[in-house]
Amino acid sequence: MKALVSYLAIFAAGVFGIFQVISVDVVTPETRIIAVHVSREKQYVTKPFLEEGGSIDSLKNEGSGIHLVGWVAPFIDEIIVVPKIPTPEITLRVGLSQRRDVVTYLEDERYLWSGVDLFVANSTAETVKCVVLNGPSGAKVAWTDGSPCEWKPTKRGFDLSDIQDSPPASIR
Amino acid sequence: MHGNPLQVAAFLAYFFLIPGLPLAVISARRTSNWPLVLALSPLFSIGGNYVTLSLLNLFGIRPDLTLFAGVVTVLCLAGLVGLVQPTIREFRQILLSVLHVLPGSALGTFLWIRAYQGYAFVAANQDAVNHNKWIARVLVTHSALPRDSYVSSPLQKLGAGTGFYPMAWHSAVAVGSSVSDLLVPEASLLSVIALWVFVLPFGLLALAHILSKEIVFAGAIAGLLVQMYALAPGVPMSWGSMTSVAGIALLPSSLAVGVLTVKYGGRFWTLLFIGTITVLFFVHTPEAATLIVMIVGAVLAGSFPVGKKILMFAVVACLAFGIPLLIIFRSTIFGGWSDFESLYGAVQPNWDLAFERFFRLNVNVVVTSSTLAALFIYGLVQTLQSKEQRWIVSGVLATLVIYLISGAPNGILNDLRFLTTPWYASYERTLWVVVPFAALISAMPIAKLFENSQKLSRSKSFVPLSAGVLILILVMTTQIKPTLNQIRSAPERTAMLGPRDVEVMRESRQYIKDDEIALSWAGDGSAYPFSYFQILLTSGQTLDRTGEINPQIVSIYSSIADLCGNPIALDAMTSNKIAVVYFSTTSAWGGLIWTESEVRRLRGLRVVGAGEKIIVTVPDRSTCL
Repeated sequence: MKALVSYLAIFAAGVFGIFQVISVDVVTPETRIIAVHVSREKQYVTKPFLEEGGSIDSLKNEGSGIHLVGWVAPFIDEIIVVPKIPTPEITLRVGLSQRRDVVTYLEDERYLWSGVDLFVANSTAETVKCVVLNGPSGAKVAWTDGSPCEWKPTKRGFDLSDIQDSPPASIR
Repeated sequence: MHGNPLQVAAFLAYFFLIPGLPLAVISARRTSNWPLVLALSPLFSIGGNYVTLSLLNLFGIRPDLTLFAGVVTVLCLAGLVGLVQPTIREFRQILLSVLHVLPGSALGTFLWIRAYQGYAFVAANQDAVNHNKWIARVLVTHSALPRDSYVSSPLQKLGAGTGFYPMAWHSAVAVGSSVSDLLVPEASLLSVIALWVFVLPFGLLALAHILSKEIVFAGAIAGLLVQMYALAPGVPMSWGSMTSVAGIALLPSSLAVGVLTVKYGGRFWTLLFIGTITVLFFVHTPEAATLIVMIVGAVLAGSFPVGKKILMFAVVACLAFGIPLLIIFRSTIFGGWSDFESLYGAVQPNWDLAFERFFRLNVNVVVTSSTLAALFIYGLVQTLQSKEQRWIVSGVLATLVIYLISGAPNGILNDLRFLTTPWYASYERTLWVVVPFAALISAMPIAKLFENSQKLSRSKSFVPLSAGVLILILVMTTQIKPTLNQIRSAPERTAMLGPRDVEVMRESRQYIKDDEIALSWAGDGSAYPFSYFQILLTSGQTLDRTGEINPQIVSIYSSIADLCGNPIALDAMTSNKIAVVYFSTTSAWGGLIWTESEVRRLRGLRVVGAGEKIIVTVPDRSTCL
């Protein structure tokens, strides 16, 4: 009888453990909230990047150009600065291009987002109509001067050097 | 997971029981140690499948794996019913041992299911890419020989594999996958989890039974505790080794056989031990080396009389292993020191806190709770006091010596580092192997409380019983969350496939005819179409359908960014019958390789399918216009 009580106690501990497992707040990839900490003043809290996302939080005149500061999801590979007057758009490639003004943020070696700190020469904030973040499944308007944003995606070239080499598969 | 419950059951039944069950029952019957049945049956089954398949392969026979499994099953059942004839009483005893491991197994099952919630059920790291490729290769070639299965590309010819690799677990998973029709990456991860969640607790129960027949609950408690160590299940699944998990899970049952051999001697146990250590060697070499170290440690403890029989056994074991080892590793052993060092698998660690790290089982992972560490140390001291039990302490301390040598940055220990070559001189590996025994030793003080409660009157028995339960609850409260997060960190960090990708790969088969192949890359998710659906792909190698190096495929790889700009390369796609090119967004190390938009902009290729991480393209000249 006492042996049975002891076994039941172990069993109860196991059940307690199972409840502990269930109670751990495991957020699935679909609902995970990522707290993004940046060296800048703002702390971003966003859902995981399952689609194009990002924000341009600051667009200021600086010297002979404008200074854009914000963040973009890993999917975003272009930032298009659309001017008010009908002149060619300024397209900036981000992500794999390893630009010095684009910082990729990793958490546990997982690519989370890119911080952008871009300088667009020969331009002023007053001449910018909107800023568009472009990715494979669509685009997102990240900043506007208040008017509707229209732009024309440009066909871009491709540079093999953009591709990172796959690491050698280690044998263990 | 894409397999249905029937497929999962069929896989587990074959993987666990066929053909090892009869021998496992005979072994358990000799000692009335019934947990040994389900602890040893998977070990013998892995060995039985591997040895039989390899022998057939050596004679040039490459059997259909389902047919092979059918014949092995019939022979196994004939042996069980005709020769072993288990009784109802024995069956009841086996069921009783199932009840004892139930708390630990249930907890472990919940932990793993919760950990993989929302992710593809596929082991996620660079190690899993290789293992799944080799298992799928066994499935395709029907050969378990390293020269056929241990390859870089599925397009390599038979006999093209080089070097030695232990393929026992791989071949057993391949046969089980063939029987159940379970997809290879799912079968491989399922087998690893099942070994950890079911077979490891049975091994601990059997070992606890040998350690002390009085402390009856030590095995059940150890089975519960072992699920809560973040070290072994977490780390190998995130960046380490699948075969390490398999080997470690089989280590307690192997040690049980070793200790019974030392204890009883005789032809049966000696042969069984040689068979056991041979299987472990071909599952994962570091655990076989650990077994030898622990047996030597156990013998030195003085718990067992060492007579002529044991010395004879040692001589036989040395001959049985020394000669094959010299043959298999002849190039390494006689090839100079640099060959040894090339096997070293870990950088020099920070050695300042070596002892603390050992007792906390803390290498590159969340620190195990202090309660668990305190239980481990207290359990070691308590167990050391008993002459009959101190062999396990001695065995664990022998692994401590190996651990210290494996990572020593300087001094005399560093000079001895070559001794830890079987563990790749890796301080992680020499610590992973301690986990089951740390769980067992940590369980001893709690089990002692349970035992004391049975000796006291009903009113007084409540106190030690409550204390034992409270300790268990304390450990769970502090340890379950970090363990769960650690296991979960594997797919979180480096998942190369999302749940939708399996369907994308399945659908991509419609673009590939029987005589066509696919182009893919090395060390990323694009290797998985072969593992999942046995689609023949280049896997980063410049081989064509015949298995020869083909300069045209070199040209295709180098022009992939713009095949329209190199019409010769585009033509070569057709002439080499490359029907599909797979791209992956995530490398084996978690880094970003391709973005979908980049692939969509490639000229000469058209995207026909895109999942979460896999992008399927076909050659298309219309994109050049």
